Amino acid sequence: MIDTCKILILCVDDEKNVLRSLERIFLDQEGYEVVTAISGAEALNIMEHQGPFRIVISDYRMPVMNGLDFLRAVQGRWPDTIRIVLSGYADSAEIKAALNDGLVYKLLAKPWNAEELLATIDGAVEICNLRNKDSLPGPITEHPVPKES
Amino acid sequence: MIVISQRVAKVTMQAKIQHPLISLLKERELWLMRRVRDYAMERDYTRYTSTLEEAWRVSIVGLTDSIAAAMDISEEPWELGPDDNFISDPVAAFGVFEAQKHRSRGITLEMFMGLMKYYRQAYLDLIDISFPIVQDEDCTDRDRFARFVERVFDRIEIAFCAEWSRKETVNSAVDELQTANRQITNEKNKFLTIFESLPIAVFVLDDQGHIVHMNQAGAQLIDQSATSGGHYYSCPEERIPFPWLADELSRFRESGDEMQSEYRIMPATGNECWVLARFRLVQDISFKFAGTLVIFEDITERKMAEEMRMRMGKLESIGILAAGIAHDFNNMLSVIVNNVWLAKKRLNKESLAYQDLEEAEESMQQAIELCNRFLTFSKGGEPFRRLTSVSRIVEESSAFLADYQDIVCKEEIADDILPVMVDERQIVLAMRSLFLNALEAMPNGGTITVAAKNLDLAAINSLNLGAGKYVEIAVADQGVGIPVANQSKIFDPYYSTKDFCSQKGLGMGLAICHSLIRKHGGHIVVESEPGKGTTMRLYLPTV
Repeated sequence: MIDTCKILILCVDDEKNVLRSLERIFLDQEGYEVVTAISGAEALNIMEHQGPFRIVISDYRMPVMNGLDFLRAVQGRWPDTIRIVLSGYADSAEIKAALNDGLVYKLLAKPWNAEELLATIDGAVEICNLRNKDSLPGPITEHPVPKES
Repeated sequence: MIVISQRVAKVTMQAKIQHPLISLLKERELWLMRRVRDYAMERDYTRYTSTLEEAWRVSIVGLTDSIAAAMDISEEPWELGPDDNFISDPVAAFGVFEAQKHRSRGITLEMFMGLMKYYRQAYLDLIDISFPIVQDEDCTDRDRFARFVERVFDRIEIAFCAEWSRKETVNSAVDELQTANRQITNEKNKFLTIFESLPIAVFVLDDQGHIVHMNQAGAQLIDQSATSGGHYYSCPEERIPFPWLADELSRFRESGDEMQSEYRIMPATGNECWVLARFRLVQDISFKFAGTLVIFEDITERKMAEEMRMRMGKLESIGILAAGIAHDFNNMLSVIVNNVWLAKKRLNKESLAYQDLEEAEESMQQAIELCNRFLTFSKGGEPFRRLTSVSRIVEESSAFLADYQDIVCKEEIADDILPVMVDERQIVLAMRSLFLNALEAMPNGGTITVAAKNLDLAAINSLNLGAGKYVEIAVADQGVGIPVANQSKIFDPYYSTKDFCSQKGLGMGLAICHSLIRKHGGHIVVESEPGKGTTMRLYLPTV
């Protein structure tokens, strides 16, 4: 069913066409397998039965459970997953705070730049591998936003 | 039912039966009052009488009480005798009291006695119409009652004359008059002062709609420099016409029904204001001071607050709409952008299709920018507040002005300026809109002044903000200004005085600015005079 040698990425968005678009990016990318979910609830369900997922990319604004609530649930149960937010609201203070305390690894603005997205994922995988090797403690973010006094 | 009515009758019996004449006089108090007033008007006595209904009522009550007191002692007519002492006669006490009161008011004996005859006439008229003429009877109730009333009046009048002509009182009449005169002047001044001190504008108009009286608040609407009591003491020879609401006034004069309505008027200051205008007739039952009272209460602030609330509501719903559209639009754009990128990647760079996609990408880039403006305007980005220095905001937002050589940017930031609790990026963005606007208002260059100071707002203020400490940042230009009619529209999305199509997203700057400031619990107002320039003031909460 799922090729376990590949790196599993779960994409969550309430817009199906956005999910289809994300899948297309990885059509010719070796080593990645993309699974999609149209809500946080469905995504959690998938994560329970399939996986393990190395990377979760979630939309921010979704009905019922927003992206951060979903990622918080993911962090609680699968803390090693790399969590990425893909959002139109790049200015949101809540997302910034989530970046600061390590809930979110990286924030990507919609519409995304596919090259940047791929680079981010490559970077995330690398950090993941490093962590596995050296057992880096604590949460990781790519570019922590400096906390101001 | 019968039992009950019997019992009621018994109680009344015990309570003491009122004499039919007395009950009649008490029941018809209003009739008597009108009757006397009509006589007084017909004979011109009203030139000297009181204007208020209560004064007339009191005089009727006094007379009726005298008659009732006499009736209590004896139901026989109180015939006169040569040795009667009228001054100490309980029945005539009213006459003595009235003599003392009226003499000091400068009323003459002739005047008083003359009007008294008409009071007597009114009472006799009432008996005349109330009790039937009975044929073949020598002495009817009607005659007896009339005679009774006549004698009481005689006694009051004689007592009045006796008191009036008492030796000691005649000698002290001048003193008494002077004292009374002082009191009356004081009384007049008291009411004049109250009238002048009223915070609402009061006008008394004559039949032609000219101003007879007005208080200071009223006079200041006509002449800004009007002083307290100015109109009263200057006694202008010619009455000036009331400058507003001519149609409403004539409609009121026709109907006489009390009216109140809200109007926009133009006072001497030249700043249009809203008033709640009330129209009333002067309450003079003798019609000596007939006229119209017009009262203006300034409700401009309330009206502006109402309008502001409506605008806020409108902007808010636009914000919600924009948020919805921008969110969906952004998702669709994401798909387009993504697939164009993928398609390009899979194509030969030399192919025409690749170039077509590059063309498309250029427009996509503009669409992305426009969409971002909407997302900023809409509810998406809640401010992430931190204490931020005002000078830093001003510096960051105005830095781009350095590129314009004919623009001078002057900073006047108070030394003790407090830091503001804001999302720095958002406020810098908002301030940049203000500077950009100032810049565009001065195509030939000029000075932009940015001033900041602390401000303490009371619980009730014209800005509709909560009480507390704020910082006011004002950005002033010397540009073309904004006509008053357009000032309320400048915060609407897509409102612009400039040509469209020259720049995408034009007309969003101030709307975004407004939305950002409101999200911070602040406020922004515009002050502008065409030809002189515009000042945008924004208010931000501090700690």
